[in-house]
Amino acid sequence: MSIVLTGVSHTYSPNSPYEMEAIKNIDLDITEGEIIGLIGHTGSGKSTLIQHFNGLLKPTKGRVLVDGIDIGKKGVKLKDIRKKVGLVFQYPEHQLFEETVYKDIAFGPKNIGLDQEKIKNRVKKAMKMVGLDYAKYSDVSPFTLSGGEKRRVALAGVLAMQPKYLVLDEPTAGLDPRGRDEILRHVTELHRRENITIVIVSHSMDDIARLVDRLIVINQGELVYNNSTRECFAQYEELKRIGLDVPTMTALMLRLSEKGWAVRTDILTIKEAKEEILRVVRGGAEDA
Amino acid sequence: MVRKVIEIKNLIHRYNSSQDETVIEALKGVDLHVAKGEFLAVIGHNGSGKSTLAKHLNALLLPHEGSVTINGLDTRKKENTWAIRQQVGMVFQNPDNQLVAATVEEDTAFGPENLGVEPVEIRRLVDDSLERVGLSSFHKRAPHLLSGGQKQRVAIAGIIAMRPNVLVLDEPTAMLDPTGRKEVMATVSALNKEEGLTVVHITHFMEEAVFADRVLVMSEGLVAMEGTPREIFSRVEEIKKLRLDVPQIAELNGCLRKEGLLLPSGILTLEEMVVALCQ
Repeated sequence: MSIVLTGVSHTYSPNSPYEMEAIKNIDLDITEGEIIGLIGHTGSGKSTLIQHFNGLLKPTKGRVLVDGIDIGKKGVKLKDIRKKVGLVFQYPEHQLFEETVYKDIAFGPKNIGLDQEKIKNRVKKAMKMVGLDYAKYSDVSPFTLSGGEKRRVALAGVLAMQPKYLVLDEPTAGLDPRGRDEILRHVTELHRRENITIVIVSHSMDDIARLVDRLIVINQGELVYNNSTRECFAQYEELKRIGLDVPTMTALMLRLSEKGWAVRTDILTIKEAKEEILRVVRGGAEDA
Repeated sequence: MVRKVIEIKNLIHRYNSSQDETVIEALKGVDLHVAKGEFLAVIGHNGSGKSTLAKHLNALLLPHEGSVTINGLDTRKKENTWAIRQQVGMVFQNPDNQLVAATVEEDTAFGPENLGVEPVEIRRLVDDSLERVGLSSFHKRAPHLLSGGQKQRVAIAGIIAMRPNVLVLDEPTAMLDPTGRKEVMATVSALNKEEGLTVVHITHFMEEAVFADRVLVMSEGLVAMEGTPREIFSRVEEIKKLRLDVPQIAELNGCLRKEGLLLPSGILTLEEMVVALCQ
């Protein structure tokens, strides 16, 4: 199963002086089981695009199919689509509102009419997935928690709806490094253990480099790249031109290559960089 | 003698919990001196007291105990408030919450207008400020149509148009794309290096703290560590215990040294790493 976009465009305020085409003619496939990154400068159309994945926005041109269901068709129950595709917005903790962590996470399951026992099971499971201890946190007010904990409560609220697809818009913005690592670790586990399909929007090329297999790059509403992470980050000149960058380790390898080192420049992580530098240094020593 | 622009003595700040009667001590006795022209980075976990500290620097908050003095002006004295706010400008995280006018130049003029500056002088200040943040050609543009990095630079222009002594930035790049982050950091760095503006920069990006003269690490409402970026980021264990991290290049350096490569300790930036490896 998959989310398939065919020729999707979205124009805000059509036929008015404020008419603006935010995304243009996008073709895209998100297949179950993938973990995908989405990058683009501010205002490139990322947020507009992801709101099409669960029918918050409908295409003004083209078609979006979620597991075969056309979200633009009349009579489609968008509620069912939104159960399948969970969207976690930027700063989702701003949307927490209940008195306790339990109630906040239970809000979604309660709304779809589950019984108390089922709700409790879902809350417990969702809290476990984001590493929040049920006994310690369920009766606590979410507003007394740290930034990273609040964000995990918000994420658990979406997970309690048991989505197949999870779309996260800059899940680490404003978090301290440990909070950032914790969120990213849980996202990785959701993908590996729970087999949830993940789309992650980020401005951190370093985070993207160590997380995702495939990368979607958009610029001024158009799809520029849709390829493996390694192949996308090989297009460093183009990425810089459109306001993006390459991961720190890729940038280091490119500089070493300029200096005449025979290093691979498709390096993404610290571990890969270490091995590549050692290979060249030790290889060089053997020649001497 | 080095002139102190900011002098903080045993600063304590408490918040009443919104939930119950408990009182949360956000700052538990902070001492801090910042010299004129210094670039200070402040890092620390969420809830460590960084933003509370920042708000004391221009009298948005007042000490419950201890004192904050800006260029000799005590923030606790009401008659000093406006003079202090003119001297200490603040830029916040969200670029969309800080711009008020319909064009870039009107937005930049907002501060000096409120200070009652003469129109001719306002024109000069606005042109000069926009030039210093590299946005001269944008003066007639609508702020909401700019990129995130450009919006933050307009916010900075609006502040330097008031001729402040200190620029305080509270996570100014948290919501920006890579180009936006670079633009803002280059602008702040130039204002500090070329014009001697004192900068207090709060950030969760360790890579940004590297460019400071001094790094202050906050934890649980106290100053946990203090030193040059090189000193701070060489204390990897302590840094990680405080929920922080070291820049990627520093971590790579640690890995390579462990493998026996003869690299100096304290490498923090990409260029330093290239130079060290090419020797």
